[in-house]
Amino acid sequence: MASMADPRTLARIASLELRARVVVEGVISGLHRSPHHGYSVEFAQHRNYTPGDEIRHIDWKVYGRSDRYHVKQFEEETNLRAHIALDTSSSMLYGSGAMTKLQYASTIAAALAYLFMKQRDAVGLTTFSDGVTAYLPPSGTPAHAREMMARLETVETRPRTDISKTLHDLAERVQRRSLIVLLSDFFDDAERVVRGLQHFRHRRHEVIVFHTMDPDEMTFPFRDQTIFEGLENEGRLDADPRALRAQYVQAVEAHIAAIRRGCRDLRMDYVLMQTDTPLDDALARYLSERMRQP
Amino acid sequence: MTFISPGFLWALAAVSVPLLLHLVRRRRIRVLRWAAWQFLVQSQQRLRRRLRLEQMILAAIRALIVALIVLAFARPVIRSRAIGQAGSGPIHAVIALDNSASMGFERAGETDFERARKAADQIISSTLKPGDAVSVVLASANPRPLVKHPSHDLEGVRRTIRRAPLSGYGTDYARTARLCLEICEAGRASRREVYVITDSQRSGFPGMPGTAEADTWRRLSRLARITWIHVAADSRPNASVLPPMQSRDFVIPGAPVRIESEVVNRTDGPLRSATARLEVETRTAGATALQIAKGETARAAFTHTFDRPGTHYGRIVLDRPDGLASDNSGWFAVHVRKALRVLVVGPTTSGASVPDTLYVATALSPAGASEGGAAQVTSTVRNALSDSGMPLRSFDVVVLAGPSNLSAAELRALRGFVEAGGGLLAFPAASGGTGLATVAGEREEALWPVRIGSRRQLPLDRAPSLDAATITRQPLLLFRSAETTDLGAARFTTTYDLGVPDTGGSRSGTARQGRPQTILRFSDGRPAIIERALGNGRAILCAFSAGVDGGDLPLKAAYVPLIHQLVAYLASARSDERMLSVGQPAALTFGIEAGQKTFSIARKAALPDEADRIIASSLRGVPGPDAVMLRCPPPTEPGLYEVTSDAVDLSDGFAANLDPRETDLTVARPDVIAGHAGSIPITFAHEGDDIGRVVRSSRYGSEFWPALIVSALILMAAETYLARAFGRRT
Repeated sequence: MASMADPRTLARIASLELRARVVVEGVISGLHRSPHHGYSVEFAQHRNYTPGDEIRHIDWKVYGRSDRYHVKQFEEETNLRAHIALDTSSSMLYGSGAMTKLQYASTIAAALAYLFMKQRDAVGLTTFSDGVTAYLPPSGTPAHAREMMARLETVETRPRTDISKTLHDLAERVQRRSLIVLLSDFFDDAERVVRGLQHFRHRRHEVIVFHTMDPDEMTFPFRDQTIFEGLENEGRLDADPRALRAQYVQAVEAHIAAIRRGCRDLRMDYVLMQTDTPLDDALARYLSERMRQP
Repeated sequence: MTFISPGFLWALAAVSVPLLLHLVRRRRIRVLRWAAWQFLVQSQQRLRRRLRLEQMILAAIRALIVALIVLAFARPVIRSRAIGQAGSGPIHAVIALDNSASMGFERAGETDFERARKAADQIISSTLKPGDAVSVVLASANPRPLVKHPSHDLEGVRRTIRRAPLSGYGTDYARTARLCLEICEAGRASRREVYVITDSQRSGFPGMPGTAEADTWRRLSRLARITWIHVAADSRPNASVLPPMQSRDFVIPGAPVRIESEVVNRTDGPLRSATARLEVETRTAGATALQIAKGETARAAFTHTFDRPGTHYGRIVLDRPDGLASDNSGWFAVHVRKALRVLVVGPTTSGASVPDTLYVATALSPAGASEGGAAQVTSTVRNALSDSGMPLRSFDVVVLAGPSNLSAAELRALRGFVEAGGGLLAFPAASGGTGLATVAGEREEALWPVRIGSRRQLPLDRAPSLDAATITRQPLLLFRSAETTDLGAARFTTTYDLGVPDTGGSRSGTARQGRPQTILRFSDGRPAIIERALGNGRAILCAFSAGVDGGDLPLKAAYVPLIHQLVAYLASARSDERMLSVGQPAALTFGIEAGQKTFSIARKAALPDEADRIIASSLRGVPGPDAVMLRCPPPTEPGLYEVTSDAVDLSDGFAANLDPRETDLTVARPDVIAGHAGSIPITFAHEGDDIGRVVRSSRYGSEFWPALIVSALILMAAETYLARAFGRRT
């Protein structure tokens, strides 16, 4: 996962971010205006300690009274709570190029997290496959960033079951209004995907959908007879790719169009990212478009 | 079906390659772990059945392509009925190269014979290999081996073929087949092949298919595979001059003689403004314009008077070039005699009446009105044959006019005289014996055409006359017209019954076969004059006397010309045959003084600027009692041939012409050829064909690998199209 912190990629994204902060102050805050709880100089409340919280924020007095670790929450000094949700289902393991979809999406997630951290935003991480497999609440501390990177590097995959249910669970878990960055190949029924996304909208979250696809999955370029074996234990299928291509591409395009249409209807940002597209280009292009929005 | 290169058949196993590939690919197909499963399954479910069918079709086409290519490399052949003698041993090829005169037909600057030589060369160079042997036959009506014994020197044989000469012979495929059969039978090779390279002339199969002819071909086909290579155009327009004829054989100086030829138009259209010329001694002596419709014949006739004795040479030539030049001239040689010498034998006195010999001698003495003009006749009258004091050889014709009975020696002498070419005219005596019987009982049939039967005597009112209407042939044709002759006016009170001759020979128009021919009959139907050829001469027997004792013919005007016609006709038999066909041997008679001399034969130049060409020399004649007979080798090309002796001033000659059938260039169709050859298997090829391919086909059958390659290419295109179509559609 060393490539996730590739300085060249980060440098280019950072420069874009720097340029964005100079031109439009608080572009990100403009996108997420609502006040959020977080680490601040003014105390707000206590909450249970979770791994990744700063040790220094543990309220030792409460510990002395209750023998439990509580951390103090302060009025948030950042203006953004971001939540990165990464699909870790088995289908994300496919990769025809240098990176699998999971590697690619993880890199994006890390880059975004880094970006958020650099601008002192709180960012959390959730991974999901057959359900929510890991949840790291948003924070802007360096320890949190390290924890997040570690989680991304050690992510485990599982077969997906029901993406709709998983998205509902995730939406329930994120209580406060946040920026939800969703990275997935969305290989499920498009209607169910959109239903899952609706929950986020219902909870008034801001959602950015990064639809991650491998170029092979888009163009189906195979020529020779091939036995396809499902990555999520669907079984094996002997097929002539040339014969299937047209039908396949048509089905994929219909699926993508359905998700894109659902996102548009839910006023969510939709970004189709192919794993052969340079990471920095993809992010920079999206953020540029984002900044151009009123 | 068989294969020329069966070694390639093992590659047929490659047919299984596409099928194996199809199966192996299913087994060893790459496995790809795939994420977008839901889309794959959707597509696959829609296409599964059709894809399987399409794959099977493509696999079958690919297997078929491989099979066709492999089969093409194995060069499969379909064996025909003509195939025989399978094996791989050395080949003995007998090449029958048609060098008959018709092969001299020229088109596009090349004769058919040159084409035939090239075809023969191609056969050797492209179909035979070291170890094979070749014999070569020059095929014609007079076929001869050019390379008789099988030669393994293929290059040498090719050189020999390149030097092979064209001949003036006719065509006879049956004789050619016999010679090929002899050569094949003498050879030892297990594989024999006969190649007949020819213009397929229809006249080379004279008559209807014969059993013997077909049997020869069948025997040949059992020994050898026969390939018939046709090198001529199917249509060869040709006009030809047939061999000239002269109106009479006995020609003397100053007496006009008619020389004529038939000109046949076998061109594509009518012959207009064609000119036929008479050339005598290379100088034009006459010309006539001809108009001949397509397929018709015209007569080019000239009257010429020779001014001196001796042999004269000439031709009738058609001034119209065509593909075959050798038949545009009809060659002739005419021997002009000084005078006709006749010995009249019979009683010179007969009591109070005039002897028969006197009537005959008197009829011969004046310049008679023989056909074509006056004939100079010198007659000698003797009482008996032995009284002449001169050898019979000194006379051209002997007339027996009621002589005394002949002795056996006289009969033998007369027989020898006639067989040597002399003419004998016999009249029986009207009273007493016939005078023609022998005193020693010698068989009369040995000399006379028929047996002389009993004598009939009738009163004048019932006496028969001569029926001119029964005249059908020479020498009496000019008497057929009742308006111009009083031959029928004569009455015969004394006649003899002559045996009825076999009339079957009349179809030939001559009596050379020795068959008696009735040339004139009495009004009661009995033979009046009968002719018979005997050796080189002729004998004519009359059933009436030459005088007035048995009838009044000598008192009629027809008597003199009748005697002259018969004598001139008989004298012509004495003339040596000088109008020959190519290939026919000539026999010339010289005086006894030429006995120890040597002769040479030269083909005379046809044009003034040409030189004579010696074709034979140091020839010696065979001496006889009265003359020397020189037998000349048969000429091989048409033209004029002069025989000379350096030692004495002797000269004679003859003309040789093409066989008239050879000038008919009609091509025999394969079915006609097969019909004459007994329907044996023959491979037919044409000059334009690839000879090597044809020969291979005849050996192994018809190859069809090109069709396989074409089919494979078509299937490849179909496979490409279908593969794209299947892929595009899905």
